[in-house]
Amino acid sequence: MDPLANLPFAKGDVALLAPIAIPALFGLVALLLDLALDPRGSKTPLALVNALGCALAGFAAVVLWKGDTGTVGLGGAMVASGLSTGLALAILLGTTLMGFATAHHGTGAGPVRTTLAHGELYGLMLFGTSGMLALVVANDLVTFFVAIETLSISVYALTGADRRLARSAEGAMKYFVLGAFSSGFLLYGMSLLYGAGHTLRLDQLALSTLDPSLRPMATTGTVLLLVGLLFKVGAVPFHAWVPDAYEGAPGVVTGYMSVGVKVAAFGGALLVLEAVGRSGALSTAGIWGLWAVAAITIIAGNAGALTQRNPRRLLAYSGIAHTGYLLVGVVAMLRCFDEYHPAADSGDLLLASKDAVAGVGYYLLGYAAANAGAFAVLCHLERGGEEVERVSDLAGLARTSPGAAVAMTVSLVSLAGIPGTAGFLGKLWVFRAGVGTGDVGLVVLALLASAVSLYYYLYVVVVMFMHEPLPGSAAAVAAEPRRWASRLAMGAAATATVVLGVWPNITRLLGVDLLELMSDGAEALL
Amino acid sequence: MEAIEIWWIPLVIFAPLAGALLNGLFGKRIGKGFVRLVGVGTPTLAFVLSLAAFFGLFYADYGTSPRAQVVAFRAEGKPEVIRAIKAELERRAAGSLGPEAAWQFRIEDDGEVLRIRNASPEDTILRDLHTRYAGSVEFGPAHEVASPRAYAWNLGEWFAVAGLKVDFSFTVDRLAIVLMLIVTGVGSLIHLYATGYMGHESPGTFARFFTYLNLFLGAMLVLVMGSNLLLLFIGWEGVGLCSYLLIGFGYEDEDNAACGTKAFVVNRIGDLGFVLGMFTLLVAMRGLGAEPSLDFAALNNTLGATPGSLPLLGPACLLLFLGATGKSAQIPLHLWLPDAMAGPTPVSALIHAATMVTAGVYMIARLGAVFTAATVWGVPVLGIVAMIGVLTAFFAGMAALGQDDIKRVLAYSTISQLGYMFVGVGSAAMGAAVFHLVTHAFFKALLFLAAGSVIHACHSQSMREMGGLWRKMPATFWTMLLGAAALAGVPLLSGFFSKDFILFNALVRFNSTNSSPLWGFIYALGVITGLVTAVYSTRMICLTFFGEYRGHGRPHESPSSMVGPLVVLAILTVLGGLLGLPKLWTHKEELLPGEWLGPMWPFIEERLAGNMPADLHSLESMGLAIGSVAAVAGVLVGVVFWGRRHPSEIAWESRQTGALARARAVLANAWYYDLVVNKWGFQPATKFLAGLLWRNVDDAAIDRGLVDGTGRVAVQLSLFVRSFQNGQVARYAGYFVLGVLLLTTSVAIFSVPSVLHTVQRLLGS
Repeated sequence: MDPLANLPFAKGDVALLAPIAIPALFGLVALLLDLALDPRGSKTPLALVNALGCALAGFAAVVLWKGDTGTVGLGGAMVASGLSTGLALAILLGTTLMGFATAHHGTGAGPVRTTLAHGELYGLMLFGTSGMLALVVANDLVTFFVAIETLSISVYALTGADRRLARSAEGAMKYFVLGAFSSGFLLYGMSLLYGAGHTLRLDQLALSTLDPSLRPMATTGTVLLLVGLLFKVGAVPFHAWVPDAYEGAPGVVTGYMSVGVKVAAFGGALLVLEAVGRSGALSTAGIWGLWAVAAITIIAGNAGALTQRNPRRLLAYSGIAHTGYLLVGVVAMLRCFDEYHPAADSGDLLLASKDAVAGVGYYLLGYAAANAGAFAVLCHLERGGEEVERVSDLAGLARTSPGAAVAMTVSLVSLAGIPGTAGFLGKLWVFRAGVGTGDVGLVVLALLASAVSLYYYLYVVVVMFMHEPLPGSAAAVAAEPRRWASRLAMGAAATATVVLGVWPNITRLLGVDLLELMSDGAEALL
Repeated sequence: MEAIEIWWIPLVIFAPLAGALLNGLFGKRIGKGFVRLVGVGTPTLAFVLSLAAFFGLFYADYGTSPRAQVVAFRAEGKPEVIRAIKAELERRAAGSLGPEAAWQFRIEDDGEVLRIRNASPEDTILRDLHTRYAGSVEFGPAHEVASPRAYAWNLGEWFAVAGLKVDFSFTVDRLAIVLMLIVTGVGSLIHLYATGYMGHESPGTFARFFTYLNLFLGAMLVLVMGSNLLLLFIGWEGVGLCSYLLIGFGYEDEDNAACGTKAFVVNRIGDLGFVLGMFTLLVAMRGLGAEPSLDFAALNNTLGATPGSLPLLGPACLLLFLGATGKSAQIPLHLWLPDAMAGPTPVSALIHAATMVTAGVYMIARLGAVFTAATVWGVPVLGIVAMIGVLTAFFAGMAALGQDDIKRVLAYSTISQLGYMFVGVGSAAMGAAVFHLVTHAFFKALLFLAAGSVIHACHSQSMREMGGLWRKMPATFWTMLLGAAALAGVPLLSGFFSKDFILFNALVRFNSTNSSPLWGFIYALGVITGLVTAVYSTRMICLTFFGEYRGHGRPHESPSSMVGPLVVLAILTVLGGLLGLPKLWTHKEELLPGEWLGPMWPFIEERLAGNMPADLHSLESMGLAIGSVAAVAGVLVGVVFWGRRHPSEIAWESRQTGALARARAVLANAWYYDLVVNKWGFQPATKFLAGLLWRNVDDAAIDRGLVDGTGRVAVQLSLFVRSFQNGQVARYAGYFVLGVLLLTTSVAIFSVPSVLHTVQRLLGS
């Protein structure tokens, strides 16, 4: 008897899993390969394996996941569209770059204080990436939850990767406890939603008509589900873990999670919110609730970043602020389901909401490149496991390693949203959608906040370019010529940031039109 | 507008950018000679290219030989006659090897006008034809070029998202070329001057300084040449960033850092207005059912086509104008400029005065049709622009009277002159505003360079420690005297003509039918400001160059590398006025900037037509007379009060008590605007929040560079946010639960329809 005869889906659909399976396979390869490497030497072979896995997965995603209208596959367990391809590329870009950035971690002339094991590091990064890719195509709540847990557990373990460092362990513990806590809310929300909608599949939930008496239950379920997602993206007030985990984890892990987890969680959130939005489970009230979360997140994230002097904590709060800007786009996307909206059911509103989805996608891509760039520079400056702990340690970097200073500047300028970088295009796209759906107040707040944010981003630039190096600081020590992998990572990230901001169409040469992917994805979703 | 595609147009921008790249990458290693060559060479290359573009454009419109003009046949309602004439002429031109071969034909105005380029009204064939069709056609030289040519080049699509397509395309039309010549021309001179001024710096610093200067120039050129609002915004932010770097250059003292920060914060407010204005324009376009676009041509043609009918247009333009007040230092965002100019090197002060701060004026001129069409509650936005402009001009001009620091005098004077330019655009006299922009770039550059030379000699910026320098520094004295006279508006110098042209236009608006009496106020205050300008210019010259020398050391004339640019600029200052002689005195009107630029805003004449006062010439004579009297009176007042006297003998300079001293203190502190904003705006808010948030600022080790008066509120908020982070998981979980409760209850409360409606009304649009 053919064991595959009773599958609940077409056999060809198995291929759709390739982009998810490839990173996991390469994770195993990395684990095994590490056994054969010199424990104190450079880990560039692992970085190459990592990059190869990501490249193959990216290729598979581009080829297999392109669906103009959203391909539902695997018996409804997954749905792939241009948006998922785009987000998958953002995630894979982050993993590749951070893989290169960490290849020389802990090497160097001085004493080595790190206990980071590279085999596990790359393995876990690739396993987590698998989960992230599964999350951006999840079409049923079970897939969704499994994907979230796959990526979460990898990241918990990664946060504590520097085992003997108390700070690292502490950060991991906090992240894990709070993460488990949030998973509880997530699951509870899912079960309530299932109770109300009688389906686990998001596409069916979207089209179902909810029994009016069950609507409060559906709304409660949705809110609890949202809480779980808001925790993952670091929205206020569920953000408390972010600064501690970002500071505690090794720099490379922070870079990895700041990119991958955020992109994947937002990708998953878009899918879920479309379903609960369309079905009415997330009522207009829920949209306003999200509006409030966006506003508070923007304010608190930027305010928190203003006085930070530890670069990783600074980027942690900056990441929270960006979550807030992205939530502006999410709110704008949901407006087309807002039955009380003055322009409800109008074509303009739907157009603006689609813009919002595509904008969020592009924003995430730019954010991935810029954040990976900033962390790659920090990884590049690490010596023997000693990380850059103060912004003032970067003083005079422009003189000692101008390349790193320029890469950092490009990243920060993009995060600040200055024209000519990917960050600007993302902001333009998202905020314009926000204005289009009538959320002008929120957009004004976001613009004001981005104006403030320039202050702390440029402060770092000023320190790098205008201050004298401090004796003994990371910038004062001459760069190690051997660290070519992290140079590659910085250069690639900075290039990507500029290209995505100046000439996004160049990606057509590679067979992918990123702008169109996002628009197609938006079309498929709404 | 007819665009001719020329591939090398973007090179004008790439030249200084390439210079920045070369100097940034290799400058330090190769050495100062290389930096000097690249730093001065690339802007000069850009200048040469701009000149080429200018002459190209000029000849494209006016032909290449003296006989080459545009002549026209007009026959209203008889297109068949025009076609017959054209056929005849084409036949002749095709068979001829003479001058007729150069003829270019163009039928316009629904076939009723035939224009022939590169021809002369004296050509016998044309005269013959005129006699043959006498009675049915009019014939004569066409002074105006119906649609001036422009150069353009599109580097390709930047992005096309959600129906909005934006290209990297650059347009060089008559407006842009004027600005390009100023930016690259005066810019090159400044670079040259800087090689001397910064000569003693280390190679690394030297290379870095020129990298920033070149980047600044490149960004400014993007601002000027971009053919859409987004490219203009790239340049806008680019010059802002470079300026931030330049103001804080060296970071020797905390004051410079604070000035950079202040400039930065104030400009962010302006930029916010700019971005929101841009979004609102897009929404307004969607409201019209037009394809959303940020191209200037599209904006001007769609939004500018229907005056007063679009409700969103007024707010959009006001927001853009807020952006302009930030960049161009107008009320209420003017407070950053004096500090930014007094602190750092004269080089950066100068490049700001000559280029960046005029960006706001340029932006409004670019969007001329949109701005003329915009009204807010029935008030034309341009009227508001003119009012803000004249108020700024007056208050800043008065403030200049109270300054001791010579660079502060020039800084306030810059704000004041920018105010005039806004009066110009506000009076819908965009050409006049651009003309003043040009002459101001000449004479203000001259004044800054001369002031730099004086400071160089006296080692002080305070005019109290100068005096009697005219014998010791004759070249600096004479050139600065010319600059100050131009600033004062002394008749026949460039500043006189350009300022007068602006005030004349305000006067025209006052005398137009249906105009507001406020235009009278604007004109009167403009004239009074002219008087004040003359007084403070004279005061500056008297205190600096006459009387006894009051400083230390033995001042002497600056080296020729510094005097050379002074002489060049002095010549330009004197001759610049020829670019825009009053219509009274010239017959070649079409070549004057005001007129030559006129076709850039064809709708303005249409919109003002019918409202124009009948006798423009007598109005112009009156304006010229009043302006001259004000300037001469101001100079006389200055000479009588200051003259050669020692400051201690002058009541205004020396009185310590009494009304005069109080008045002077008010002006010296620029009407206490800074103080008031700090004291009544920021500080109470800070105190309130500090009390509320219980935390002391000193608790956290915060670098002083970051925290100034304006930042304190934010710091308090920041510490508040951080105070949640005490490291205890239990507490974090507590926040989490609190958050869940808040979210669920708020969603539950929002679900009550009446609450929901209230929320919708308060926060929705």
